[in-house]
Amino acid sequence: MFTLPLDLLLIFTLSTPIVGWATSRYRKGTLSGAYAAAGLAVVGAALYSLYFDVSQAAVFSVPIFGAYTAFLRVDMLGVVMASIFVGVGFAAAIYSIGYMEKETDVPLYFTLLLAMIGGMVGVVFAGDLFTLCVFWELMCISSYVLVAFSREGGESVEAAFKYLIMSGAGSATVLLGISLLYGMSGTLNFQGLAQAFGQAPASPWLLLASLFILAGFGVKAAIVPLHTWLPDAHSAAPSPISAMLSGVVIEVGVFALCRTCFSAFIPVESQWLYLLMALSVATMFVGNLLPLVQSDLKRLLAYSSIGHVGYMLVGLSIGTQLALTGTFLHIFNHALMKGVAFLCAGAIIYRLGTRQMDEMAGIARRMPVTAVAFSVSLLALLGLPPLNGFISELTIVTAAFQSGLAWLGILVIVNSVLSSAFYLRVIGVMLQPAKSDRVKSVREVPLTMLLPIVAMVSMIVIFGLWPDPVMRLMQESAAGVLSVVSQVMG
Amino acid sequence: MPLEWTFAPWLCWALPMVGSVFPLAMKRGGAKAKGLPVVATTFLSLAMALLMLSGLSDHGYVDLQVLWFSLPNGGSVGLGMLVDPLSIIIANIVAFLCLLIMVYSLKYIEGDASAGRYWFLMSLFIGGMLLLTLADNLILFFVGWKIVGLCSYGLIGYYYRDEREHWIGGPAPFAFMKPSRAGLKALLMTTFGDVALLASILIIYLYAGTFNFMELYQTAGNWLALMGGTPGVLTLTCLLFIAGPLSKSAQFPFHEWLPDAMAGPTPVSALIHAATMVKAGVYLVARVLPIFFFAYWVATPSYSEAMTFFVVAAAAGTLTLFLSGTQALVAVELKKVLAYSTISAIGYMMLALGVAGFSPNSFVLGMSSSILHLISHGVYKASLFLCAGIAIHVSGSIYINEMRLSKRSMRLTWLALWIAGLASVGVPPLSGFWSKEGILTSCLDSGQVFLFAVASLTAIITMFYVVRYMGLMFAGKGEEGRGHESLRGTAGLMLLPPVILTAATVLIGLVGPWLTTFLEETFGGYMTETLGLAGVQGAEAGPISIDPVMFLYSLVLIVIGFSLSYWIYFMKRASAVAIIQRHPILGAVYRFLWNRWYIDPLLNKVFVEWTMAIREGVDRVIEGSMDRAINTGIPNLFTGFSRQLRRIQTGVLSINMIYFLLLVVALLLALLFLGVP
Repeated sequence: MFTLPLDLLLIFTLSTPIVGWATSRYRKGTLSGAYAAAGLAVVGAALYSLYFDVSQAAVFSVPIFGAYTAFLRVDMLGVVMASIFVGVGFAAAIYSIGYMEKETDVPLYFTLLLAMIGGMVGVVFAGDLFTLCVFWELMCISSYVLVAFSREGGESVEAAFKYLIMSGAGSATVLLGISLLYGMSGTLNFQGLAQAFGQAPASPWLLLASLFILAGFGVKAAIVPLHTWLPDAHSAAPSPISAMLSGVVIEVGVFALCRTCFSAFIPVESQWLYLLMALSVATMFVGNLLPLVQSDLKRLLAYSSIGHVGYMLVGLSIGTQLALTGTFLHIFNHALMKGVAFLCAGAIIYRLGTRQMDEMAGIARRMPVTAVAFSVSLLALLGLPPLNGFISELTIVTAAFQSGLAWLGILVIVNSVLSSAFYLRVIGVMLQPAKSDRVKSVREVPLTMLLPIVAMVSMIVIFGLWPDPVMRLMQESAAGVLSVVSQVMG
Repeated sequence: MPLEWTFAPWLCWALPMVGSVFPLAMKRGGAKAKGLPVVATTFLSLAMALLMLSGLSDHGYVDLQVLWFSLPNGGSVGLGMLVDPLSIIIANIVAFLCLLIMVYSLKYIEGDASAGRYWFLMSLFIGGMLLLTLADNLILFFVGWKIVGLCSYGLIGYYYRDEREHWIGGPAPFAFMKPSRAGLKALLMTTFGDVALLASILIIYLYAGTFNFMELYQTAGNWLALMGGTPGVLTLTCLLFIAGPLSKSAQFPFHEWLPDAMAGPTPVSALIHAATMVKAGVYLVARVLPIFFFAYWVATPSYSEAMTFFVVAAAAGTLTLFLSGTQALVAVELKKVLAYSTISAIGYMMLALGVAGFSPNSFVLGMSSSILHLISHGVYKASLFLCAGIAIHVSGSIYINEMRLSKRSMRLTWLALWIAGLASVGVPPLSGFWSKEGILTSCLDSGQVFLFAVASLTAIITMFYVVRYMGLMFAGKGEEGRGHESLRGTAGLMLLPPVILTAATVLIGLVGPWLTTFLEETFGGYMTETLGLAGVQGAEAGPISIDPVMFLYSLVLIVIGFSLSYWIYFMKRASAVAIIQRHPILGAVYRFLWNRWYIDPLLNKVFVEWTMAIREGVDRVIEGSMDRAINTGIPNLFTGFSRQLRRIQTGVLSINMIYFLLLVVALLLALLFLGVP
């Protein structure tokens, strides 16, 4: 119905609770987790076959006939993004089997995880704004519950509530913006919107609609000053969920901005991009200055996600093909880097039971694999060659210089330097001699948690040394996005 | 060029790289068990190199290009492999020597607690060396170049705890050198050259827009024209470029690191500091030689600045071969004598490559004789070093005058040392003869009589010191010698490689004339047919001939050196010590040579002592003030920012929602300001 990967995701979402219900009480968590992970692997295979279709046809719409035609529109960008979501989700699912062992209601957890991934894949496959919104809500609602999943103490519930209210307000403005667009053009299809508005001069109503949509998606993408929910939510969630939220969910917001900007808002593109540019600068600085004095490890990582969204917005606001390539590449790389970072932080918290960095001194000696992986991911996050983060940041900076926005490129570099202050501090803390007895008694986490970390960290290194295959995919995706613009503008 | 196994070049260098992981990953197992996977991967690597030999059947090349990453201005860096006669020959010789020396190491490193590190570095070295040999572009080449440099550093300082027994230098009244310091010295000195090389690579890239060797050859006319537009750039590029090979191959003025590099384990000296890594410089010069040759001789208008490259190569080579040859006359450490002789031999190769560019007549002969010398030197010098390892192991002394080995019970070692030693002098019909004769002939062909004379003189000197160390190492008649060798058991592992290498020396010597002709034809064909260098005189097809005049001349040189030395060190008619004491001038010469022409003390003075002298002032004035500004000032500034900025993060939902509202209003205003149509 919704293309094979998405159908599979929804089927697995619905069947995971049945697996949990059917199995014995003790193995419930492990079995439902394994079932969810297997489901994601199958979805990955389905995506791979979809990739071949896309690389031949560039774009295709589903379904082709029927009452509602073409509510899904799959292009290279969609497939690439969906693969990132499913990949990180797969790693998080395997990791969660160990991490969530002691929790109750684990089948529900995996159901929500699958639902969230399904929502995200739906968003990137959506062919019109209405479909996008439906899947968007699927993603949002499951993520609210996931943030509040661990019910110890009120913190996570408070964070989830905050997240719910702010995100709900964002969704409301998005709907308002969409209704304005529909009123003006009579269609919500991206292609149709582009054709309806592309040639015409921009009307004030279009500007207003664009503003509402920017503000709404901006909440999810954590654009400053709409980022305030993020540090609370991302640090209160279970660590694999933090990895998902920081690694992929906020990027869905960036994706949605990109999709709408290069279809419906072609006439107001220049105004839009200026605004985004200003917001991206604010986002970068807030995201990299706030963690400087942070002592809570997960909050630190959550803040740094805001900084990275800032880099992505820089690419988006430049708007050339090279810049979009950099943005998409950074989405991919950030998913890997931040995914590893949160999973490693989770591993340390799992053993140590605290999020405070001071108490983690000396952990490198006790958990060497985790510490090495963590350090590699942090170095990649600060943009150190030859790791993957360097490549995408370099691409964005190069694009800025090529478009005559040297100052923007320099600001990215300045932020990258700034960020090294807190990333390196984390590595420094891990390497310090152990202070507390609790650190001395911990050992490495179980293999199911270590495997996803190691697999993702090796990808960080591999795609840093050999970025070309991914780079080419992202170039194709960027070209696909921009081709809509060039078609409309003739 | 037919190359059926396109995977071979990649596997050739990748296998040892993979193999290097095993010794680190293995938790259990002794030194030998950790080495076995390395030996296995080296063996496979040799097999891959042999598969490439089919490429020698014609004079073409295969460039297997793979994109690594693209550069913003349209250029790209590849992971490609270039398979052409030069790389095939070097890869095979490298892989062959590596395998034998790895087998030897199995016994040598036995019982060493940190052998895992040894095997890791050795295996990584092999991978790096083959990578730089097969790389099809300058960047990938440079990656391999730095890998071998780092491995060399790690292996020279292998005994980094600096126990007394691993010190070199001395004996007693003279200064000693610790392994860790020797490693650092090598790293620092070669880094000067590496940085210069990298700079010249970037300059070339700026003009040529490519790093690929083949593209550099093919587009030489275009980018040389651009480069020639600014006077001096080509000269600068030549000078910077050749600094890399000179430092890696231990040529003047960068030669001082190699004698001290003997602080490493003996197989390391044999493999890295005699047979392979120090040849990387020769390889690089040979690789780019056609470009500079094209610039000077073929291109119209010709670029006279390109001659700098050949002049520097020939001058540095000649000076080095002479100065290190003379230093070998007085050295008393066996490995150091061999190290000086290595430097001297590489000097010959550089000289040959330099004179290759002096005239189109000598181009092919210079190049092919240089490569032939590289091959023959690699084989016999590896054999000499491995024998030296046995001698040091058996006698427990690093000084030739304290060894007093028994000729009778160490017959194979004795024989191998003699054969390889005579090959290094160029005694016919051993391997060194053909290559050295080729080098001397190419000097004459290009009309460089002075260089020819120096090279001839050094041949006498070489003969002299070979006989000297042989005379001093082994106990004379009537003396009680010590030592014992056995082909049985694991000790055979140590004896087998030098025996094989010595046999190879004899074999190469016996097929020498054919090999010479083959190389000349191969390189001649490659230059004229594949690269299209007009005006190069290729090898004339015809019966193999030996120039009787040159043959006699060589014999005369050998006999002079041999008789003089034999008279002193074997017949003991005169004591060297007594002669030096009797003549004050000879005494001064002796001190001059013993102090390495005062180059080493001078370098120490300038680079070590002066640096130490200004250290305190720099620390106080520059370092201190920067420290305060950067390490205290900037962090305080940004921490302040951060604390102020934290106030927006209240955590109160209603305030957060106000931000939302504020943003919408602000955006609205901004849009109005930007202009509503």
